[in-house]
Amino acid sequence: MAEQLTQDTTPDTSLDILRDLTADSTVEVVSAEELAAGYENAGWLTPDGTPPAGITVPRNIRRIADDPHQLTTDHYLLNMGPQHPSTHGVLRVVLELDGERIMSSEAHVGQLHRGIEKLAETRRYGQLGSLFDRADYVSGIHTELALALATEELAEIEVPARAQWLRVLMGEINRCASHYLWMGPTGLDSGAMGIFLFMMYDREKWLDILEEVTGQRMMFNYVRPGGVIADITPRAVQLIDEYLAEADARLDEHWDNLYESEIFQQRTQGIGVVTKQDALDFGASGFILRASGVDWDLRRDRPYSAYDRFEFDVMTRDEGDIYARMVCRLDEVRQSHRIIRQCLAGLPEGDYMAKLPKVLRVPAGEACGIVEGPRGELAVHIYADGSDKPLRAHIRPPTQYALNIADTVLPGQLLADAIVSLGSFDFCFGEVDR
Amino acid sequence: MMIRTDHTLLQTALDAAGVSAAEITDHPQLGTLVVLADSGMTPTALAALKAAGFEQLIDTFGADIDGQVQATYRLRSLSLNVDVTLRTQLDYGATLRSVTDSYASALLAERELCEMFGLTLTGHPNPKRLLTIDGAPPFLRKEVGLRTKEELWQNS
Amino acid sequence: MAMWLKALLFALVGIVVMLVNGAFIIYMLRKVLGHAHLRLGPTELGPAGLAQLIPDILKLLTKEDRHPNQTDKWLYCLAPIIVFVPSLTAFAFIPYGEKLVAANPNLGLLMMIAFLSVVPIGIFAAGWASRNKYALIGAMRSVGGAISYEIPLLLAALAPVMLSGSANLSDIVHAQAGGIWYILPCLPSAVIFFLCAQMETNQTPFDMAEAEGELVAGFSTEYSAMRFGFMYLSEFAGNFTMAALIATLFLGGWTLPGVDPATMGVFGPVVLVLKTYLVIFCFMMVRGNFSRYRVDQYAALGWKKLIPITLGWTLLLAVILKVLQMVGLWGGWS
Repeated sequence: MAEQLTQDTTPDTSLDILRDLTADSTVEVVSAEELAAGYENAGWLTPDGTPPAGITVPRNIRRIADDPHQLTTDHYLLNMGPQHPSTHGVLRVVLELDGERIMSSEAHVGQLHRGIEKLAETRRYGQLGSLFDRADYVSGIHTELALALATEELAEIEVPARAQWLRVLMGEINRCASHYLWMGPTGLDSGAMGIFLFMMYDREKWLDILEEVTGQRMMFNYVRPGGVIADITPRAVQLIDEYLAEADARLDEHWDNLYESEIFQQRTQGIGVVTKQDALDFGASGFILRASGVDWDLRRDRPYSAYDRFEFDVMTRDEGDIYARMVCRLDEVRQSHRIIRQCLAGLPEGDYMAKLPKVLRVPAGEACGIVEGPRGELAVHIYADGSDKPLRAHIRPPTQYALNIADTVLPGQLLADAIVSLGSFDFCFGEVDR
Repeated sequence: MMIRTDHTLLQTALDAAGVSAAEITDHPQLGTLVVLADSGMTPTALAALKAAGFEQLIDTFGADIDGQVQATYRLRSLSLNVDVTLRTQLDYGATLRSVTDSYASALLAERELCEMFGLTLTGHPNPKRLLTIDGAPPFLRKEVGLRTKEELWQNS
Repeated sequence: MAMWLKALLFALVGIVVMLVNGAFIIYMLRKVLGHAHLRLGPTELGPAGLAQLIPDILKLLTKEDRHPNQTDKWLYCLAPIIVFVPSLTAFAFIPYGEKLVAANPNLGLLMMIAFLSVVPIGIFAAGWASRNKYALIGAMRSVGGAISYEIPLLLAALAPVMLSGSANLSDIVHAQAGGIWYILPCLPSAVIFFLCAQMETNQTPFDMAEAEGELVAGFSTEYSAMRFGFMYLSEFAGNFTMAALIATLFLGGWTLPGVDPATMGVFGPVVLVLKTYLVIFCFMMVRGNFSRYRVDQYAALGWKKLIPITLGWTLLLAVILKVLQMVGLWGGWS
C-alpha cells in the first residue's frame, strides 16, 4: 500500500467531483463565481483570505492516486458523521471514495467546542478541576492531575505522601475504566457485539469503586491542588480486593473471546498501520507510540506523583496495526492491576490534603504539568499572573494529535476498515475540541 | 521539574541554520527555553532543532500576553529524554509561518492557534478554521469577553 | 374443498405464521442475546417480558411514515413489497406434515431458493431508491453477496437431492424418515449450507447489507415505520424459511427417527418448528459472538473457498454414491 501513497497532483476539485456526482440529479451545483464568493467566507486562515493554490478537496496531505492497472470508477464524497453510529462522538470525516476504497479523507472537528480554555480564565484554581473534567470526560482524574501538578509547581505546595499514592491508585483505576471503554467498542466496530457488553461489566466494576471514593462516576473533581479531596474508604478497598481477585482471569477470558477470534484478527492485523516514523512525526503519544515500537512511557521516563516507587512494565509492540494497539492496551490494563495491588499494599498513612488557604493565589509564572493519560501525553500549561485565576490555561489534547494520523492512515483502506481504524485511535471529542 | 538541555548543542544547531537573535535561557519551571526575536524564523529554527535530534513536536499553543500573541512550541527528544520549549512573539493579525514541513504534528494545532488568536497562516496544506464557524471572533484574545446567555439572546 | 378456498386458507395461515414468527423471533433474539451477553432481555411487561412485543409492534405501526425528498418515489414504496412478498411465498413450499404443504411441486427446493433469490433485488431497489450513499453501498454489497453465495448454497443443497433422488421437499423428508438424517452422510454440505443461509438472511458474520457499525442501517437507512417493519419482518421470515429448509434438507423435516411418518399426525408441524428454532438458535449464537467479515474477505470466502469446496465435495459424493450403487451397497436412484 505504501507505494501507492503519493503527494497529490491531480487537479480535480471538489466542484468537479460534485458536478460529476450530481450530473443527473436535482442537487444544485454551485458556479465558480459562487464558490469563489463562498471561499471568502470560508474562514481561510491565509494572508489574503483565499484558498492556497493547487490544493484539492479534501485537502489532507496524503491522497491515493488512481491505479491505471486496476478498474476504477468515479470518485464520490461520503460524509461520515457526526451522527454516524460508529464515529465515537462527534467526529465528521469527509471521505473521497472509489467504490468502497478510500482515496482521501479529511476530518472535521469542532462540534463539541465549548471554549473550556477561555472559561478557565474566569475560574479560580480550585474551580478549574470541575471544568477540566469536561475536557476529557472519560479520564477526568488524569486531567485534574496534570492541572494539580502545574499549580503545585508554581505555588510550591508540598503534597502529602498518601495523597500522591491515592492519585496513582485512582489514576490507574480510571485508566482501566477508560481502556475498557475503548477495547469493547473497538470490538463492536468490527461487529462483535458480545465483547462490548462483557467489557462494560469490568468498566462498571471500576466505576463503582470510583463512585465509592470520589462520589461521581465520570466528572470526579477528585484531585485538587495540594492533594485529593477524599480518603479511600474501607468499602472501596473491599470492592477493589473483590474485583482484583477475578480481574486477571477476566482479561484472559476477553483474550479468548475477542483477540483469538480469527475473524477479528483478519479484520485488525495489518490494518491501520502507523509506522514508527509517522507516529513520531505526527506527535502521537501513549499507546499509539508504544504499539508502533517506541518504548516511551511518561510514568517511567518522567515519573510524576509516586510513580517512581512502583514496579511495572512498559508494554510495546512493533506492528503498529490495530491489533497491536488492542494488545498493547490489554497488557496495560494488566500492568495497571499490578500497580493497584502495590498501591493497596503500601499505601502510606497520613494526611491526604496539604494545608492550603481558602483562596489559592499562585505567584506569577508559567508551569506545565505532564501526565501519561490513557490516550497519551496529557499536559496542562498554566500562565499565572499572581491572582487567584490563571491568565491562560492550555490543555494538550493527546487525541487531537492522533487525529493528524487518522487522515494519513485512512487513504487506501476500505470503508469497513475505516471505522475500525478511526476507532482504534480512541478519540475523545470533549478533549479534541475543548 | 523540566529536564534541562545542553545549551551549546542548541546554539550550534541554530547558528548553523542561520537563525540569529535566539536567546537560550533556563526557565525555573519550563526547563530550557529558546526565545526567537523574529517570528518568521520559526520554521527554520524548528527544522534545525529537528535535525539536532528533537524527534517530536509535542505541543503547539498560543497565549495572549501583554498585547502580543505568544506562540509556544514544545519539542522532545525521546532518545535523550529532554524537552526544549521554543517561543516567539507575534503582533495581532500577524502571519504565522507553518512548521508542518518539519513537524506534521502541528497540522491541527496550528490551525487552532491561528483561529483562536486571529492570526493568518501560510505554508500550511489546509489552512482552514478548525473549531469555530465563520465570523467567530478570535476567542482566546483578551479583548474578546465572555457573554452570558441573556446578552446573546438580546443581541440576536 | 374448492381449490381457491384451499389456496386462500394456506395464504392466510402463511401470513399468520409469518407474523407470529416475526414476533417470536424478536422475543427470542432479545432473550438469547441477552443471556449470551450478560445483559437483560425484556423482563418487566407480562410474564418473562412477553408482553413487551405489543408496544414494540405498536411502535412500528404508529411511527411517522417519513418519505425523504429526492427518493425515487415508486421504487421507494415498492421495494419493501418486493422484499416482503418472496419471503412470504417461500413459506408455501415448506412441508409441515404428510398433507400439510401448500405447494408441492416436483422442483420445490429449486422454487423455494428461486423465490428467496428475489429478495436481494428488493434490497437493491430499496438502496437505490433511497438516494442515500450508505443505503446504496449496502445495496451493492447485498447484490455482490447474493452472487457470491447463492452458487455454493445451491451446490450444497444438491447433496440431499442426490441422496434422495428428488428435488421435491416432501420426498426428501420421506427419504430421510426411512433411513438416516442427511446431516450425517453429507456434513460438509450441511455446514456450507448453514454458512450460506447466514449470508442469505443477513446474519452477523456476513451482514454486509446492513453492517450497522459501518453503514448506519445499510439499505434500510431511509426507511421508517411500517415500511421498515416490512423489511424487518421479511428478514425474520427469511430466517425462519432458511432454518426450516435446513431442518427439512438435513434434519429430517417433520419426521422423527424411529417413528412411522404416518403416525406423526399433528406432531409433524410441532417437530418441524422445534427443529427450525433450534437452527435459528444456532444462527443467533453465531451472531452474538463473532466479528463481521470485511466485504472483500467475504467475497473471497464465497468465491475462493466455498465454491471450490462444494464443487469438489459434490463431485466426490456423486462418485462415492455411484461406486456404492455399482457394488450394490446403496439402492437409491432406482
